[in-house]
Amino acid sequence: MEIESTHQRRSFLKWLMGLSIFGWLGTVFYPIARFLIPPRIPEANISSIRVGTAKDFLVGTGTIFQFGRKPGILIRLKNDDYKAFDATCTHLSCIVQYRDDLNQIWCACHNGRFDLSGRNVAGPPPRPLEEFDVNMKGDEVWVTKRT
Amino acid sequence: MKEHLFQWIDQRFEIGAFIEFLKKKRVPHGKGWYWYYFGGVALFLFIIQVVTGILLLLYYKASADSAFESIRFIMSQVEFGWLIRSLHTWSANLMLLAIFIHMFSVFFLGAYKKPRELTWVTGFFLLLLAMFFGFSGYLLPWNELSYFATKVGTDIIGVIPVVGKGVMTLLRGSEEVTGATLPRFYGIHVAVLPILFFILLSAHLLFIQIQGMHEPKGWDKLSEEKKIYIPFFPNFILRDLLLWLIVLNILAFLAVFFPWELGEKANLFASAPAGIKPEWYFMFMFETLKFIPAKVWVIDGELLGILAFGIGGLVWLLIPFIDKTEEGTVRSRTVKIGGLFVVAFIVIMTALGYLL
Amino acid sequence: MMWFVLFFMLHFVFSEVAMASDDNESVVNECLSCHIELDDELAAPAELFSNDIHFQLGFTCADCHGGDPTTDDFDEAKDEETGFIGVPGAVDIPGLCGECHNDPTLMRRFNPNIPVDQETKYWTSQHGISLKKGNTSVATCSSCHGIHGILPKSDARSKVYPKNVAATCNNCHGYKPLMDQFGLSDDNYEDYAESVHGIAVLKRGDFSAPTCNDCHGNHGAMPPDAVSIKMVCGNCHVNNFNLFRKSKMSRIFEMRGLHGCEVCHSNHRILHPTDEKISVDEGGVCMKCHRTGDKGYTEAQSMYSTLIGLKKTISEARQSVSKAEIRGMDVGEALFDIQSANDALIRSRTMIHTFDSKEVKQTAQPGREFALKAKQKGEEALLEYMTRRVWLGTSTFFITFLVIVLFVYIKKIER
Repeated sequence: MEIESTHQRRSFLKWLMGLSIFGWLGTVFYPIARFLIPPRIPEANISSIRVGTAKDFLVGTGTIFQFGRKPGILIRLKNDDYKAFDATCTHLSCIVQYRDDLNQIWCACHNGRFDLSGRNVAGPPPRPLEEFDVNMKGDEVWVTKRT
Repeated sequence: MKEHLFQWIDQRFEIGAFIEFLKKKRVPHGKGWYWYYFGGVALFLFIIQVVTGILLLLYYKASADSAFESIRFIMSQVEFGWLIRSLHTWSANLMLLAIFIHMFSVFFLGAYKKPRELTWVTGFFLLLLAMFFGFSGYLLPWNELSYFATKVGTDIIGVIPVVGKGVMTLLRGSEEVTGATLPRFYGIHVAVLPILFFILLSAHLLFIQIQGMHEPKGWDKLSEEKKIYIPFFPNFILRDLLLWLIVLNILAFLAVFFPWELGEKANLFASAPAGIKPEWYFMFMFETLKFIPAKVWVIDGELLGILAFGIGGLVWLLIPFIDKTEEGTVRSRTVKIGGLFVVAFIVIMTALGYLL
Repeated sequence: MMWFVLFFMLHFVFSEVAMASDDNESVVNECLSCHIELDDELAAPAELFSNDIHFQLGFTCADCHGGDPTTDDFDEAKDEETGFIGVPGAVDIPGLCGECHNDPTLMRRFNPNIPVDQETKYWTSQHGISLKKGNTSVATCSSCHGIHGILPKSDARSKVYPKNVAATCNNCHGYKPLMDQFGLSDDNYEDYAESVHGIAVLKRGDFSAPTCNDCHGNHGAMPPDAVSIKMVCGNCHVNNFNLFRKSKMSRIFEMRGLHGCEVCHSNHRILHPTDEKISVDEGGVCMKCHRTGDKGYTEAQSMYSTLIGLKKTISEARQSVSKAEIRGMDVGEALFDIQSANDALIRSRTMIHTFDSKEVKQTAQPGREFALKAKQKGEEALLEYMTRRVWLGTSTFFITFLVIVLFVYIKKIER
C-alpha cells in the first residue's frame, strides 16, 4: 500500500515535471520563433520600397509615403512618368507637396519651390531635394535610394 | 522500438561504453560543494550567448552608417528583438561574473594543482577571451558610450612600448576609432573569438572529464564510507539544471526590468560625454591606471601600470607551476592569503571606480 | 573736333577689339613690358592687369587709357595724337566703362547674357546722382569692381562675388569720416553680419540669402522706399508678403508712411524672429504702437499664446517620444506626427502676418492635434515597454514551477 502511493507520487511528479518542461520550452522557443519571422519593414535602413500599384496614384498628383523613418513624395506626371523625392523641405523641414497647377513641388510653410528635378528654384530653400529612382515591376511602383 | 533504435546506434558508434561511463561517473560531494557549480553556470550562459548571438546576426549590420540603425531596428521592429538583445548583453555580463567566481573558487580550493595545471591554463585563456568578447561586442551597437569606451580602451593598448601603436592601429583599422574599426571588431566578435573559445572550451571540458573533478581538501584522508559521491547522471546533471533554471530566471528578470537602452548614435566629432566608464570587468584596471602618477621616476605611469598588470597576469597564469605546496600546509596558506589580496584589490578598485 | 575725337575713339576701339578677340597672344601690348620693369607704384597696374578678365579676353591698356601699345618708345606711345588720357578721373569712369558695356552688339560677342544697362542704372543711383553733382568721393565702377584686377562676379576672388559684396560696400560704408559727410551710419556691415541673412551668406555660403545688392540694387543702388520695401522682402518671403499685403495693417502702415517689414524686423540687423516678438511683454514689437488693452493688444496676446501653447505641446510630445525611443521602442509614426505638428507651427508663425488671431489659431489647431497624437503614441509605447513584463510573468511562472518540481525530484532520488 505504501509502496504503491510512493510510486504514484513519483509518477505524478514526473508528469508535473514533463508538463512544466513543455511550458518552459514554449516560453523559450516562442520568442525565438517570433524573432525569426520577418518584420513588417524587412530591414533597417531600407534602400528600396514598394510604394503601391499604379492605380493608387492619380495622374497629376503627389503622394506622401513613408520611406524608412522619413517621408517621401511620389509624383505621377501627366505623361505618366513617375518622380520621387525626399519630402522634407531643405529650409525648415516641412513636408512638401506637389502642385499640378505650378508643375512644381511646393512647400506650404514659406512658399519654397522645387522643380521636377528637385532643384530649389524659388523661395527660401537653400538646397535641392534628394531625388529617388522610381522603377516599375509590372504594375508595382518601387522607389529606390540613389547610392 | 526504443531498444531497437539504441542497438542500431550502438552497433555503429558503440555508445554503450559511453553510457556505461556516464552511469559510473560520480562526483565528490564534500565541503563547499556549491562552488563546483559555477563553471557549469558559465557554460550555460555561454550557450545562451551563442543562441542569442546567432539570432542577432540575422538583423545586425556591421557598418558605421547602419549598425546603430540595425540595433534600433532589432529593438523596435523585430518581435522580441528587445528581449534577445537584452538577454545577450545581460548574459554576457553574468557570464563574466560566473567565470570570475569559478576562477577564484578554483584558486581557493587549490583545484589548480597537479595534475590539473593545464585545466587552469586553458581556463585562464578562456577568461581573457571572454573579456575580449565583451570588449569587442560593446562597440557593435555603435552608440555614444560604446564608441568612447572603445576609444579609451584601445588608447590604453597604444601605450605599450614597441608593439602598442601597431597593435592599436591593427585593431582599429585606422589611426582612430572610425567606421573602419567596426567591421574588425565585428569579425573578431563573431568569428575569431568563437573559434578560439570553442577550441579552448573543448580542451577545458575534456581535461575535466579525463581527470575527474577535483576532490576537496582532506578528502583522501577520509575513510571510504565518509567519502560521499553523487552520481553524475542524473543527480549532478539535475542539480546543474536546477541552478541553470534559476540563473535563467534571474537573467530574464534583469533583461525585462533593466533592459539595455539604445542610447544615442555615436558621433565621431562630439566631445566625450562626462564619466566615460569601461565595463565593470575592466574597471579595476582602469581605476588603478588612474591612481598611478603620470611619471614614476623616468617611466610613463600608464605604461608602468600596464606592465604591472601584464606581470601580474603572467604570475596568475603560471600559478600551478609556481605553487607546488601541499594543501593544508602553512606555505599553501600563504598563497591563499596572496589570493585574498588579489580579490580585495579587485573589489576595492572596482568599487572606487564606481564611487569616485 | 568733338566728332572727330569720337569717331577716332570708336574706330580705335573697334579695330582693337577685332584684334583682341582673335587671339590674346598675338596682341601687342608694349605698355606692359615697360611698366612691369618700373617702380612699385607704376608696376602695380601692369601686374594686376594680367589677372584681369579684360586682359584674358585680349584687351590692352590702350583700350581704356588710350595711347599706342605697339611701340616701346615712351614718347611715341603717349603721344597726344594717340588719344592717350592717362589716369581717368572719377567722373569719367562710368562713361569709359560704358563705352563697351553699353553696347549690346559688342558685349554679345563675349557674353550674350550680360546686361548692358549698368551705366544707365548707375546714373539713377545715389552714387551716380552725387557724382553728377560733382561729388567725387562716391563710388564709381572701379570702387566695387576693382581697377586693374577686374574679375567676373562668379570668381570667388572677385570683390563682387556674393560672399565679398558686403565687405566691398563696407570699404566706404564702414568708413566713419566719409559717411559723416553724407550723414549716413557706418555700422550697417556689423548689423548685417549678425543678421540671419548675413550668417547665411558670410558663414554658411548660402547665396540664396541676400547680400547688400539684393535689396538695394547694385548699379542702381538706392535705399528702398516705404512702399517698395515689402516688395523687396516679398521677392523671397512670398507667403509673408502676400498675407501682409492683404492685411489691414499694411494699409495703415502705408497711410502713416511706415516702412512695412522693417517696422518689426528692422533693416540690416534682421535677427531670426522669436515667438516673443509678438508678446505684449518685453521683447515684443507690437507695443511700439499699441497700448495695453486695445484691440491690437488682445490680438497679439491671443496669437502669442496660440504659438507658445503649440510649441509647448510639441515639446511635450517630443519628450514623450524620445523617452520611448531611447528605450528602443518603435516611434516611427509618432515622429511623423511631430513633423506634421511642426509644419503647422511654422505655418502659424507665417499666419501672424495676417494679424488675425483666428487665422493663427485655425492654422495651429491641426498641429496641436498631431502633437497630442504623437504624445499619446509615445506614452503608449512607454506603456508597452512596461507591459513586456507580463510576458516575463508567464515565463518565470514556468521556470519557477520547474525549479520547485526539480528540487523535489532531486530530494526524492537522493533520499
